[in-house]
Amino acid sequence: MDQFHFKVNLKGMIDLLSNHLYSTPHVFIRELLQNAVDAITARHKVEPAYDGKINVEVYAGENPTIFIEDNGLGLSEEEVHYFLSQIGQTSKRGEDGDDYIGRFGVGLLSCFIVSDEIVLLTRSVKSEQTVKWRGKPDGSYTIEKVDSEMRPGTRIYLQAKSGYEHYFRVDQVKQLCEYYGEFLPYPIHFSDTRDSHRLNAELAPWEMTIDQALAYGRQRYEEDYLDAIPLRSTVGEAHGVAYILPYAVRINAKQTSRVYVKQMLLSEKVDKLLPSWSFFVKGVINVNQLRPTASREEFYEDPLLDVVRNELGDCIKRYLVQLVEKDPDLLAKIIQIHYESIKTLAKEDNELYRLFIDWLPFETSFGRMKLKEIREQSPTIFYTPSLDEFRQITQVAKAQSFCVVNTAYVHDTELIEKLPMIDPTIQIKRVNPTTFTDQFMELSFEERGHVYDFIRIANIVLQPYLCKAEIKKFNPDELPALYTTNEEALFWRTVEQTKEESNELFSSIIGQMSGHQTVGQLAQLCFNYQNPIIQRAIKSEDEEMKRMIVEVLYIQSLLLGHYPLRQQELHLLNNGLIRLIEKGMDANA
Amino acid sequence: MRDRYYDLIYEAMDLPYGNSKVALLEEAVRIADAHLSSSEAYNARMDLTNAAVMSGRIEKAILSFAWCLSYYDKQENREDTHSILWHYKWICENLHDFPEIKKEKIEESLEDYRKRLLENGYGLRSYYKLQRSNALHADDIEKAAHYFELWDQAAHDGMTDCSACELDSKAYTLLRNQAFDQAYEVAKPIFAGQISCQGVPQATYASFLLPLLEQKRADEAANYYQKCREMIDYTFLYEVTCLLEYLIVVDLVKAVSWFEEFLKDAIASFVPSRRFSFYRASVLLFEQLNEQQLTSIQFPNGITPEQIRVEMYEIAERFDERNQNDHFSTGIEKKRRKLQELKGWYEKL
Repeated sequence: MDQFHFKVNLKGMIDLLSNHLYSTPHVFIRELLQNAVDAITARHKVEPAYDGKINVEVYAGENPTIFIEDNGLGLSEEEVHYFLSQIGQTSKRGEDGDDYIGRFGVGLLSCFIVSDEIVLLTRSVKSEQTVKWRGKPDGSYTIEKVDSEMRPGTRIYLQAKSGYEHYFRVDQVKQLCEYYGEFLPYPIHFSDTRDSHRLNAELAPWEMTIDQALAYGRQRYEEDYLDAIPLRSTVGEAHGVAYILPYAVRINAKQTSRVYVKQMLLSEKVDKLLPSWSFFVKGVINVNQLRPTASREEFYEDPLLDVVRNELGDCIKRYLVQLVEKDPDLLAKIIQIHYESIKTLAKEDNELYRLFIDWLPFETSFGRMKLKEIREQSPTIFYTPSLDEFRQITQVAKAQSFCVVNTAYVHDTELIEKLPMIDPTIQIKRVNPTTFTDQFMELSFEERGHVYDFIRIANIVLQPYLCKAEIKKFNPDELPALYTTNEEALFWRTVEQTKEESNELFSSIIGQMSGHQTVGQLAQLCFNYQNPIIQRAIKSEDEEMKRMIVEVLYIQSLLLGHYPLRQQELHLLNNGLIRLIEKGMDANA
Repeated sequence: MRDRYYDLIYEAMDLPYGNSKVALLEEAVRIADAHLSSSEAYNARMDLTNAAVMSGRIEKAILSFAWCLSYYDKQENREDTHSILWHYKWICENLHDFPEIKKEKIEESLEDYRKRLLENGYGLRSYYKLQRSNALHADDIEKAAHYFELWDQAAHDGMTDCSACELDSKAYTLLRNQAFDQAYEVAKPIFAGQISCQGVPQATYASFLLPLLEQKRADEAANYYQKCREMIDYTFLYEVTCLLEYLIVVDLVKAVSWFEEFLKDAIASFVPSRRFSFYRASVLLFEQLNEQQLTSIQFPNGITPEQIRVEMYEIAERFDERNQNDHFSTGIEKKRRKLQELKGWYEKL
């Protein structure tokens, strides 16, 4: 059987790279730097004390050209043939492959995105001969021996393709070299006619002290970070810092890290390297042992990545833990800004839960309080996971000096419910409006006689609104009535409403779906016998007046509970008010 | 009021799926109904439908969607066709979860969905997938296979699920057909992390746990269990139940605490099919425990194991009556045998 090889259309391949694999043409600078760095690293293997350096120049003009030079290992003529004529071939493969940044051997091709010709001059340390290679995007290339003297190393000339000149502007090239190569281990110099200066930094944040790293963050990222946490992963050979953001971020916001692989920038937007709960930090991290995807902008999701992520996450946890002793003020500040993130963390991690729970803020009937303060109020912690119920309860609870925690926000219920597991002396109790209304004082038989008429009328008035009237004694006196409802009652209101408004098919589907359930509790309006207005209403002989008072109090208690009024209820409000005004004017007349 | 409405919508947008998100959108709907335009009421309800489906509150999604569909049909310029159909697809996918909704109504709504697809120039791929899931629900394997084939062959279009969901459903169907190797092959890109979405890979990991044990690949199952556990961040009882069944086989203590953690969600769920699966796993868990172990379980006030057992049978009966077969009732015994068999093997490891 004969065996054949696919022919790869190089032009198509370049189009593929430029339009699909890489997210921006800028990457050609990265690939050039990478080749240079790898060549120097290779030379280091043979001559450990060797001082590698990279030099970049730009020749302006109609067809601007970039020149980049390294004093690395260089290539012999044979090697040029072998490596530069086959896509996917890289001189860096082999047993020591892990020491190099590049893996794909397609790097140089990315230069064809911005240029129609690559010229490469190279001399191997093993040879005296300088070789010139000239490659074109259609796949053709020439090789010639050059007589000129050259030190071992490689020089690449890249001339701008028409339409891509702006990638060759001096400021653009410098910026891109800094962007990708800021922390590369060898000095990168930019030279022009006047002088030559170093583009990359001497130290990376992960090599700095904390103070240096913070100063660097201030200057480079223009952010006054609260602190910098050293990050380390042995498995991934990762080093980095996690800057604590000085402002709150939205919960679940994707916080991306700036990630370097072997000190070359991989991407500023890596979101897989730190655990998702750590959205309050910005990482600047160098990794040596993870595999980037072909586009070199993210990592492969593999078991190793999980391990590295956990190791890095542990660094952040350990930092927070030691802060309790070392710098409680800073911790308080961090919690104040990032409590949402810390809540997420504490929910999952018992050790952190124990440490932080007392410091975390919750909304209560007395306003925002730390759990520690809530615990001081009473040995039992009362909470409700429903926003609606919290609103109904809060006034009465406050009047009765009762601290109720609103746990309707994400994770709060879980956090409170976890308390007894951590500290068995703490009791928790879930409350709902009935918890309070049940404690309201009942009326005596004699008093019940007085209010009989009033409640009868109130029930007639409230019936269309699926609401039931009752009367009790409760604090505060100034509160004439309390509206309470529950999720079920609200759901049934919606069922009824939707059945009328939807098409025949869905109306019957809703009918069938809800058929099995029996209509549960109604909403309740509980009048306060101790309230002076209610007293007067009860005593009033005027049935019309009683009716109007019930209507207006119903509306008022809806408003107090922040319930938006429905059309029907708005009508009630308008008519009720007008009639009350008329009544008042009649009385004065 | 308009400010409050938008505050609620934006606040909800930031929240993960769950009851809090649903509650905020319900309030936005109430405000819009009372004070704002009907197009604002429509938009809030569309968001609510989405959030309710993703948070397992299908009953609420059905209500808000029904309103939206009727509003949409009344409009002269129907601009939101894609969204409406997309939401319609979700609703159709979940109707069979309510045993009180009659077969004919489910068929009728699928037919209505099919017509709307064709009227709007879409192909039927998404429709076939729904028919397949509906047939699987009633354990009509033949019908499911028929629609599986149609689905597999039909062209993709704007109404097709994302490729992660599609692969997941494909693998799930193959697992139901006992075609483990094929299913595993299909799911490979998901396991390799090449594609994912909101619900995938969690759902895929969950579906493969018991089948992997059946294949005697305990290490792999343990690995997927761990991954799935770490990823569950909003409660879909499906994954929770799969994990519970897995734990019954491999670790009873963990199974008990997992059960304790999610029982309240199962009780709170208005969706009978989801309650059923969780209760079934729970009952099979109780059966594995001795008296002392059983009394160590923390039940919420007033709930007993017996009640859970009774309700499980009661729901199974309601489903079987609607589906006119005994799939749900006999499924309990089938699952019991499967777990016992796996447990016997696992304990010998």
